[in-house]
Amino acid sequence: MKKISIRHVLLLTVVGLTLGAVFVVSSVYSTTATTMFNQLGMSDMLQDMATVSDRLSTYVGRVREVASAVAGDIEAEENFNAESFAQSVRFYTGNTEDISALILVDEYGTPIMGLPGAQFKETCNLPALDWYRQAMDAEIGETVLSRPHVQNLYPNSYPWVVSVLRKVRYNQDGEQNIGILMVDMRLEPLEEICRSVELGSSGCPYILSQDDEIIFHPDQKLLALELISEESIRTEEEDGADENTMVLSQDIAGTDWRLVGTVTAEDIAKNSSEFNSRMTGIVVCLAILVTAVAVWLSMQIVRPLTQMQTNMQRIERNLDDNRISLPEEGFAEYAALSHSYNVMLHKIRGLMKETVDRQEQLRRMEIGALQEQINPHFLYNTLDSIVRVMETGRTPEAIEMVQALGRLFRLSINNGDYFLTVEQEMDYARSYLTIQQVRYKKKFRYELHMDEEIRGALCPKIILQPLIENSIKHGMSEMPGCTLIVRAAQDEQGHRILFTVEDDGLGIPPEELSRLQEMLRDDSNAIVKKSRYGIGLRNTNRRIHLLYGEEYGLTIESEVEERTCVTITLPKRLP
Amino acid sequence: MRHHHVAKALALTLLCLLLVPGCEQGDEPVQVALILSGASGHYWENIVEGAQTAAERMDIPLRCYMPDEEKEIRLEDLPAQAARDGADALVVASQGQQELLDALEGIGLPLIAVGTQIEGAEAAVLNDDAKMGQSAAQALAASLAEGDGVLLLADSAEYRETDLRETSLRENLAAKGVTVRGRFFSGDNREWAYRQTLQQLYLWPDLDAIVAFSAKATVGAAQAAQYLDRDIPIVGTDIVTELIACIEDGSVDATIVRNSFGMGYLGVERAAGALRGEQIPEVQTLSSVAVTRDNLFTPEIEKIVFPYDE
Repeated sequence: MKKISIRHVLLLTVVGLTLGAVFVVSSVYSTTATTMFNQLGMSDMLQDMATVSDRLSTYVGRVREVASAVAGDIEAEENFNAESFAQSVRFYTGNTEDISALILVDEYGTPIMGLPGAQFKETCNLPALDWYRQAMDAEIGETVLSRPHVQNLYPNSYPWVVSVLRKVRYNQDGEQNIGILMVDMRLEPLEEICRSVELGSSGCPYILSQDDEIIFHPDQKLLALELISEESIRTEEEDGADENTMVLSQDIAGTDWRLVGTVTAEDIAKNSSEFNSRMTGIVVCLAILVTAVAVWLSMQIVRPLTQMQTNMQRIERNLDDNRISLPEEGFAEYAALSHSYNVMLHKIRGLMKETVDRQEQLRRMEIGALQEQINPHFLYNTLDSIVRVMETGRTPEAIEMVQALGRLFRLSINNGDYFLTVEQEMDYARSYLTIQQVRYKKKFRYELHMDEEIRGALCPKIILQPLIENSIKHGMSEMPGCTLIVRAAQDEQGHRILFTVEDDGLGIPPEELSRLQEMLRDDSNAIVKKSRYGIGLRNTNRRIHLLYGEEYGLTIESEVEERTCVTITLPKRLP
Repeated sequence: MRHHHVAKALALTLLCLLLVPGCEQGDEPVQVALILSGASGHYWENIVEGAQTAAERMDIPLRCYMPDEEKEIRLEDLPAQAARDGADALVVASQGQQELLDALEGIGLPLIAVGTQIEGAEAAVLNDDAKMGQSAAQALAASLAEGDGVLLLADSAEYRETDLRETSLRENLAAKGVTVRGRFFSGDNREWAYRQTLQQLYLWPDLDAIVAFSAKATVGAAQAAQYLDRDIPIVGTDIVTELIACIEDGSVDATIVRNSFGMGYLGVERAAGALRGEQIPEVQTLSSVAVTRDNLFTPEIEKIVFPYDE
């Protein structure tokens, strides 16, 4: 299984947690804000509609008031004439440009008086118009609003107007007549009022009459020329027909008109959409920022680790190059880790050096042991002894010696193996003693004892011979009739092999003994050189130390003219 | 060093992203050029107005190009000029002038023909000229009898749609046994039409009707007839304020009003559609309407004849 890296864990954790939190917070915030913005947007639009409706109502109301006031004057005058009419009109209209014409016509549509004039075009035929007839049919004092139309009263003037008509009684030349007071209200201000607000992307609101006839529509020219379909005009009855569009309607007070506006869901959500896009922008920026910081942070943390890993690999390849170590720098934790590693590295290098040294010593010991075993003096002396024995006709003894010498050599070679079994080692000791006994003319006796349990256990070869040689040379050669006992046994636990070489010869003087014992504890050359017992003991002890450690090795006990006993302790190892 | 580059790149990306919400994202805005072969007159002005209304509604930048003798701006130079100004599509309202057709070749921009068909145009918004000729003949039908003669004041000998209209007029009149006695070219010029009408009425006192193919020519013809106190049926084309007065006072019997506003409007709409890769109608013919004294102030005609914004 592929192992996940610290860097990825760090990145995923930091980025995941931060972004998760940001997304949750922004979603909640965005949802709340969207609802709020939508409510505000809707409320704004309704407010705009109400404002426009009020302004339209005020505009129409003002014209109606003028019509009402002038009609009042007309009806109040006993003999209404052009002069009083002009005075009345000027008084009530002032300088307003909203009124295009104010005319009094008789019941046949003939102008009686009016502003800007009472002289109409010949082609003007008011009774032919539906809205005029509607006003004629109305009660006295009732006001009728015409549909928007082109005013066709005066030459070369064709303004679009809505006529406010009021049936009046007027007295002229002593007669009471019925007529129509017609106030032509310009359509342009109505348009301006409607166009003063933008109702979403669909444009400004429009005015419909009670019969859904268009009084004003921003695209009325396009509608008239059929460039856009009349289906685009919606009424509130159609509200809900298209779930994406909402029809807002507001009655215009004082008229039978109503203000209608269509808004789409997008219009209402415009502000919230803007907010949400900005929010998204901020979240994206944050995400990038967080990712960048996480990448940077992970780099800061992981880079020293990677560097450390590279250095360790280099060290691994060049373990014995003491110049290479980990730089103890950067964060405190890294510095401490590097320091510990360097300490460990130092120890490993020390141990390695020790091992190498030990191997080297062992090798030298082996060479020494080999040199000792094939000591030319020993060989010459042995061969001399054999010659002497043969000269004296003791052939069986000579044969025995030659055989012993042969065994000695065979075991010392032992196919190049460093270890012998205890049995072989004892055999070696026996062969050596056989030869030495002949050489020393049987001045001593010897005994060999071996525990059967350790017969096959392994021991370094030729560890007994130096001890036996010492014993013969220093303990028994000057004191005939001594006995040398060589034992091979195991301890009570059966974990160790104990070789003992014991003689009842001269013994070792106390000073010499203590020096030897000291030498065996610390087998440095300085001490060894002062001992006449010499190199044999030290080398054997040293070999055992190198092979098995300091807890194994040689011990020596001695009493002057009583006994000397050298013990070798080895771990019990089976092949 | 590498980390510095990474840091710089990150900083730059962040900066860009922070600026993004402030920038309006969207398609590259397209620009449409309207090339007109005429400059003054009801027909051309309405085309321009219609085109501008469409451009405004669709939020498309629109530039208008028209020849100007005083400034030595020639018609044949207009397509190249529009292309240099960065137009993405051309709306060409012409009367089939050859020099313009030559100049349009090799421009390589989507082309919408308005008024007169142009070979290679993506779409065309045309006037029903044949129907106009027929309507003019019908408007005169009540006043004419077999063997009567009609004076025709045409626009220009070069204009292809005038030919169509004239052919249709002649055919429809011929069906009633009426002939076109004379045809003269007065363009959209009241003065020329006035003089030519005066001259022809002197020369042929027995002329029974006049048909004019432009608004101002109609007014000129009516004024000439009034001057000579001749009560002669006149049928005109398009509408101007003086012509409304003529219709009102009966000096002009009828005028056949083209939907030139619609042509300009639809021309730009088609151009925008073509640029968006939409499927657009190849040819659309807009019908004309006959305006008479009787229907002038009806709600339907009022909306066409009297602009709201004038």
